[in-house]
Amino acid sequence: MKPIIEMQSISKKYRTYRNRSPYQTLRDSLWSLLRGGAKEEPLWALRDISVQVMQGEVLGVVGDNGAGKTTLLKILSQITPPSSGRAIVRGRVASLLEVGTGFHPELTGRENIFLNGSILGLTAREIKKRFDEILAFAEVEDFVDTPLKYYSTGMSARLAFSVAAHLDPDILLVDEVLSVGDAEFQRKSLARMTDLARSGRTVLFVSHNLPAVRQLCSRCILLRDGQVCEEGRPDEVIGAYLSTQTHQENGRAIFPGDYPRSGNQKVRLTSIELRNQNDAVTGLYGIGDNLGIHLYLTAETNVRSVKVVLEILESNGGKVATIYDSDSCFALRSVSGAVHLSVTLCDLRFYPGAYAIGVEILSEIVGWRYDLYDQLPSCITFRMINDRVGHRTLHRTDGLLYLTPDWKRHAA
Amino acid sequence: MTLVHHGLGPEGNAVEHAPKVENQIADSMIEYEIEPQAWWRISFREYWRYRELFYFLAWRDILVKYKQMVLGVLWAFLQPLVLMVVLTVFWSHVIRQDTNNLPYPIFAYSGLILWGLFASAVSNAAGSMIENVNLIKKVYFPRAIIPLSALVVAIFDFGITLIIFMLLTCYYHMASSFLRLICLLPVCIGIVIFSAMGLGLALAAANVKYRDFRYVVPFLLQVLFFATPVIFPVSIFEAQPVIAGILLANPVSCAIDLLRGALVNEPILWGRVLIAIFTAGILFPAGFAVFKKVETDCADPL
Repeated sequence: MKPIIEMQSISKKYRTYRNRSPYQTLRDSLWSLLRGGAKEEPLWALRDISVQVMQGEVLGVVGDNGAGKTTLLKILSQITPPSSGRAIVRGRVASLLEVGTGFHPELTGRENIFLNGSILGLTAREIKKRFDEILAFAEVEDFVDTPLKYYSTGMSARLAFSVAAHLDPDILLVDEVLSVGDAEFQRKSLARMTDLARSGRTVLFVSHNLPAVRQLCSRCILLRDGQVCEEGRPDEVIGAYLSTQTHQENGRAIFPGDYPRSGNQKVRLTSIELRNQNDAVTGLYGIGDNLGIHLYLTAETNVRSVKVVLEILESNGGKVATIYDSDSCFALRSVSGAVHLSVTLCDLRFYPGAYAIGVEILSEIVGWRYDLYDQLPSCITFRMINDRVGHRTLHRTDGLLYLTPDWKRHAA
Repeated sequence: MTLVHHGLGPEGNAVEHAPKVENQIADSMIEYEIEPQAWWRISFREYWRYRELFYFLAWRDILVKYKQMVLGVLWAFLQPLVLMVVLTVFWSHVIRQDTNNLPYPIFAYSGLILWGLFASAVSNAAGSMIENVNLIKKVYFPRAIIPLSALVVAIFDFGITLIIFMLLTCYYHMASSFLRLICLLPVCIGIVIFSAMGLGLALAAANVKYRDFRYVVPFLLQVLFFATPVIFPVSIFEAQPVIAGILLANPVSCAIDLLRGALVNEPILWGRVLIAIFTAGILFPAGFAVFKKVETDCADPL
């Protein structure tokens, strides 16, 4: 049997120009005509990709941001052509690079279902046939004739996903769709993807959600700098990927003066470091490790009232915790010049995945009023890596905290 | 994007190399190749396959436009009507000109609605690609569907204004030549629409390629407005052959004159009409070619 997707040395080159905005303007073009052309620097987003996907396979694509995952999906879904090479696709493709593409706030739920369905490649007849199902799955039956602008975020996300879930393609291309929405939404969409995979559809699944990739996929490829550098069983490929992750989440970030941030900058965060219990700077942690957050602050003048707040965020942006210095009965009081501060979280219990830390520096809160000195929302990330404890595999869908409380059996 | 169908299209069923027993793929077999693009290749079959999306996008644009307006459809009536009244007051009291036996209101109105069709079709199409960036970046379909469906709103508006036009012709008893009018009207509309499609597609492409181009479009339309005898008859430039020549070369101006001529049993200058049809017939494929050339790497600059 022939493979359902056959990629034959696909390459994609983007043109980038030094010192130039990503958009071309007429002014720039006329100008460079006069001066004899801007220097073009080719950027290879993909290089010589040859992969075959058989019918019924669920192929996971993992890799760092900018490794070419999305470009690959865009080529396979024909949004952008390859620069060289070719792909043969044998079947009806639906690409879900986002849910709710083309949703319009002025239109009602009903109208949006038809529009969105049509954009995703359903015919009007197919949409009509599945209309009730879509509505029921999204649980928005009562609002079918209400304009979308009156929907809550959750409702429109459900509607969007519901339309997407009722596509009936031979090949489904999915990009990070699971990373949006709340936990319930993620669970539901994952379940639907599993159903699709079981019913013999071919799925190409791009995600940073490694547990989901592991659970869903039958095969995986790892992209690095536009090339396939690992291919095989999900366990092996994900393992290979994580072992190279260190360079990206290296546990250190430096914030120069022009770093985008808010606040009046009376007190500034200049850098942040994450250290483990051995005092080594790293971005990778396992359950039970200690996480030392080292903050380097600076103030040009003597600032008398300073308070530090840390936030820990999930990879999808949800807050895991907000930590005030005063919660631990710590007070910095005043700052002048450079200050080195450390906050240690002992015995980490987070489930595997990426987490981010945000920092806020502000004055003491008097009543409701305070001055914001500096604010860097999610300025560094760390990753919880070992997702196996004993015989158990931790899936992010099962929870957020791995707890080992005291269990005791009492005499009856 | 080149689509090479080895099967029988989307609903085609027989493909020799896929055994029918295999699975559900066999009965909806589409096979295509994704290759580096050649901009001159157009798959009309593909456009046909995506016709429903075209309807839906046009339908969305119309719905959204009229939902956002308090006055709704009334607005489409009001706009040219108010302009006509203003112009009539201005024109008939300030400058008096021969409008070829046509009462000025109907003279102005006939020009205004055809110009309105042209101008809004061009500017809708020109802006459409930028407005639909999110679609273009996330889903594949033949891109020309977007500017073409944006034209439909302009045609819809025109349909509304046409009703008033018919009422006006009755009111001024110009309906003596009704059959003639009905026969010539589609020619006028056709010329205007094809010219607008050509220009609109080219401008949409330019908008994609150059982000600062959208400031050029309204200006360009304003210039074109004065190069079209919308509010004045061509006859006022009889003494200046160059200006008259420019006016005559413009297919929209020919369409307007044809419509006016249809109202007052004036002999039709078929030579001019043929030139206009020819020009519009060149403009459309030329604009389409420009568009295709840019479409090739559409998602990248956007």
